[in-house]
Amino acid sequence: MKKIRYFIYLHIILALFSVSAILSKMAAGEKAPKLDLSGGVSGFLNMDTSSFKWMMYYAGILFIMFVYAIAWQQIIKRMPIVTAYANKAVLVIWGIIWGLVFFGEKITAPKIIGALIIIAGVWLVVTGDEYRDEEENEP
Amino acid sequence: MSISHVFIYIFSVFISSVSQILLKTSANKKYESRIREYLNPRVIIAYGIFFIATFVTIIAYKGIPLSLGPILETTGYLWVSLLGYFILKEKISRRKIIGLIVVVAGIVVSCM
Repeated sequence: MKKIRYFIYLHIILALFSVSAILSKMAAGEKAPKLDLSGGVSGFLNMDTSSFKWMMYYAGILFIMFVYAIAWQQIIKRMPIVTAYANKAVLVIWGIIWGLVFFGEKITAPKIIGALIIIAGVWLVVTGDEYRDEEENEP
Repeated sequence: MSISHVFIYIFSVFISSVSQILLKTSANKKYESRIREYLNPRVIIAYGIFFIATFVTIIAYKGIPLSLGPILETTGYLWVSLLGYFILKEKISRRKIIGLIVVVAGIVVSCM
């Protein structure tokens, strides 16, 4: 039962991580704020809406990455690293779903077939690695 | 979709992989104190690269669909394996090589 619990935690944290890609794509549609300190704090506060949105998205990205990094560390302590890495391939599916939901990107046959091939490949890669040690992780 | 943005995204994944290797070489070293384990040039450079990569990713998304990002992200398996092989002298098993080829094939199919 415990195994299933951490498996669910893993997928919750991967789903959260997939959201950072949505925020990156949204930030890409806005204007990155210019680091101009000549106007002082008030100049900074007077930034336009687009730059403000960019900053909010970016803050969201950093927050998610921070939470993800910590949670990932905790999860890989409690399950085989190979399982964790193999399941990470689900991000490819999340990307396709979020692309459709948030940006109206079409789900095409090559995209689905390609995703399935990638997932199979990732499984071969992570199970083919007898040398992977426990400490290896992501920043 | 613009091909140059595809390469910008792949570049971002590549530099993230470099930072992962840096963190790994740092984890393998012995440090005189706990603080030093986290505050040493390798770790700082690694996180610096990682931080830059987040910006590069946003730039790349200006020219690629959201669905392609996580797909291109899987090139990380290739970069980490190659860097591990050339820098850390880690062996790559045959099964892993086949897997890497399958991943790349899947990426190509997704882009069609």
